[in-house]
Amino acid sequence: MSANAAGLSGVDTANRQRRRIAPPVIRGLLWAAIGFLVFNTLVSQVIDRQPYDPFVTRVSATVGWAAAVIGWLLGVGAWEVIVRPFFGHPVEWDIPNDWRRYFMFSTDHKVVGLQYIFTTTGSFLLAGLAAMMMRMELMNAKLWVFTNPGAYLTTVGIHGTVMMFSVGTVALVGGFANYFIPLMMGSNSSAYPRMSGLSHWLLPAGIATVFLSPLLGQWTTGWRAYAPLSGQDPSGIVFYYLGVFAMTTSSLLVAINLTATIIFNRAPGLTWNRLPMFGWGILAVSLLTIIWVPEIQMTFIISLLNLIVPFSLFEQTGSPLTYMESFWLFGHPEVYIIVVPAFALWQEIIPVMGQKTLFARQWGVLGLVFVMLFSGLVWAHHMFTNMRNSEMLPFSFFTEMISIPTGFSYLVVLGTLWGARLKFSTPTLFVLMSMFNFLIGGITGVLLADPVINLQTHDTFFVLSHFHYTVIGSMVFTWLAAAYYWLPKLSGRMYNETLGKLGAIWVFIAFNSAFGQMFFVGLRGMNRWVAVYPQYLQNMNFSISMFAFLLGLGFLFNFVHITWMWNKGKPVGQNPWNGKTLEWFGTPKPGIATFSPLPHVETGFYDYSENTPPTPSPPKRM
Amino acid sequence: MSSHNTYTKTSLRIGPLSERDLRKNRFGMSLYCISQAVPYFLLINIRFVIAGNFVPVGLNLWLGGIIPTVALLVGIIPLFTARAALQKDDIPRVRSHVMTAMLLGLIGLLSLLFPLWFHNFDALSPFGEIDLISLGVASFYTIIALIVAWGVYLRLGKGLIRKETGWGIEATIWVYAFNAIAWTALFFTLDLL
Repeated sequence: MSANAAGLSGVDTANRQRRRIAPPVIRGLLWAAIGFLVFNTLVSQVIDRQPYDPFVTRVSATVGWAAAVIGWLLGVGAWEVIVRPFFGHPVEWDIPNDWRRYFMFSTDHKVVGLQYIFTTTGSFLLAGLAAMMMRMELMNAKLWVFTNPGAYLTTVGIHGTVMMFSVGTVALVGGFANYFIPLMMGSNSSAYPRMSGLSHWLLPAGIATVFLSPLLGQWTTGWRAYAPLSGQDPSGIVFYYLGVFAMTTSSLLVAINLTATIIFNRAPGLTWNRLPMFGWGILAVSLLTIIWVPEIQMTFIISLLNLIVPFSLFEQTGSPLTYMESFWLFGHPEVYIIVVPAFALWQEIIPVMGQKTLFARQWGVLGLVFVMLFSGLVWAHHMFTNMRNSEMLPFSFFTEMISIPTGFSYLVVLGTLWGARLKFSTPTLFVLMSMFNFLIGGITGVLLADPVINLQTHDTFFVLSHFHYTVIGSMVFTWLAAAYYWLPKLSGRMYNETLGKLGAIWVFIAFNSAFGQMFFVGLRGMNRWVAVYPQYLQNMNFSISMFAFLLGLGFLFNFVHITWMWNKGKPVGQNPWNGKTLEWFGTPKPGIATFSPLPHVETGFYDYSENTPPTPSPPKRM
Repeated sequence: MSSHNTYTKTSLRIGPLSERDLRKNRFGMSLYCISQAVPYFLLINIRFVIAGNFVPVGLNLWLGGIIPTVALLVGIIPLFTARAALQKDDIPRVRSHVMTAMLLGLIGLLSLLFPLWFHNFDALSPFGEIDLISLGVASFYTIIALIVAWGVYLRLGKGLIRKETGWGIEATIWVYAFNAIAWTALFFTLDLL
């Protein structure tokens, strides 16, 4: 009888595996439901009874939610992998090598990365559906889809919150970085695998909480959750704060894990000077996350306490401006948390597709680092309407200055493109489109840094279009570029090039047609946060909605194409793009150690000069 | 197909850490401390924005102030002596020192919780609100530190922590000391400055 690593006999292990037929998420859902029911009932019916005896109150929902999330995490596997071993019990957790491993706690960074990719894609589609409902409402100047403005604003809030905290912040970092950063570092594991496994399961908890928020009532604040406005709504905003807390905690754990992975899990010879550009991007964005996410979490906890104790810290006895300052201190770095990985991926994909040495690599790294540093100095441009002229100047200055390190990313890519024999593949196309889109978002960002324009266009569709160009235009397009680029590594299969290009052109035209028009409708007086607007704006809004629907279908087309090719695409070799970063040289399958033995890096990854072989050979191994 | 082929075992056995792994763990704890210091900075900042230097006359400086500060700061010492005892593999002594730290932490926790319920000033005032939130935050982190210490205490009892596998004690020192120092900074800026 053999004993496993945890000291259990083979018979014990076999019995345990036989018992577990359904994936543990079912148990997680059950424990979450029990946790909510028990603790909600305890608070609302015993400890803190309210007049008229409601079954769910703000306090009981908060306590019940905490119990539900703990039950969920324990149920999916934290009980066996974290809690019991923490108190001295052996680890009893075996992961089946089939589809079920994606529905349970895993310490394999490839499984965790795929779990994040699936969850993020699902939330993108759901939040996109909310956007389609909003655009349907705005096709008509009068209220016709939603029954009241509050329902429309709640939908806007859910859309923005889920897109920001479970797609924008997570897609490239939690998804692709969890999967590929350890591989790019030449490592078989992330630094803290248990923490990594835990981090993913907070994300669906947060997404579900935000989507379920209307059960507690409407909330009209949008993803910014402005106090004291949030205190005037019914209780849906309570689930906003709680859901965002879960999602941001997930991002914080990912950031700590990936930072340590990059610093400590590098293969021999992988010096700082040879670190892949995506590694630099993830390092920069992780440091931003580690500083700013706890800041917004504390702000939201105070706002939550304002609602449930209740306090009035940002209201009568305090100042609404304090909330705004606390929110935007995080809010603008958040934009760079979203786009810095995209900048890094441009510089990762283009040299491979051009088979040309990355131009001015050090300036590319400096650009990523200085964008990170400047991002904390620009936040107050969101509040020019609340400031004195003299206070605007430094923020206006730094907002314009941040375009300089951003420009480094452009110059590095343009220099690499110069004279390259570029392979015009779908990832290339998406990267170039992403660069174009961010250029529009960036130029309009410089315009908005100017107080005169900022004050005129405040809270109009001009601003809305600007930030959608920076978030969808750059991050989502780069996300798709990365999906096509790494699909052969993820699945061992190649996508259809014609369909890939069709999908890219489709979303590019639809995106620019929809959001390009939003600049103009904004300049003509279309305000944000309104379901009803003047009649003269209806034709333009109708046209925007048509292109928005086309955009939604375009994204769906790309996801269906990728999913289909994941299973049915043409089988392809380990390294179809002739990439030189380490992820192309390891075993791709989850559940199997990628590198055996560990690679030894002897050169940089972006050198395609003539004295190197045309087809890169695997890095020398020890 | 046998179960050995269809299942991957999650192997998280406690073993001696290499120097590199030890550095990695310390780095992770320092990132934890840096990130969790940010909420304290925010609380201090909001306190000065909202309430300036005002401290109400009825504030009890002992409960929710001096007592938890002293208890938590002194509680760090037995954890260090526990680590020293672990180097000699004197496990009963390590356990008794960890228990001492836990008792001091418990005193600190109770002293933080008491003024959350019983306070002599208006809770619905700029200072009152930020003070109560600070006490709540400190209580939360103290509970975390106590859970960490409790887990180590139980693992010590089961013989899972030895001289060669002593990271658990060091992790407890990180979490416990962070909480004690962060609370002390908050107390000084909130109640004394």
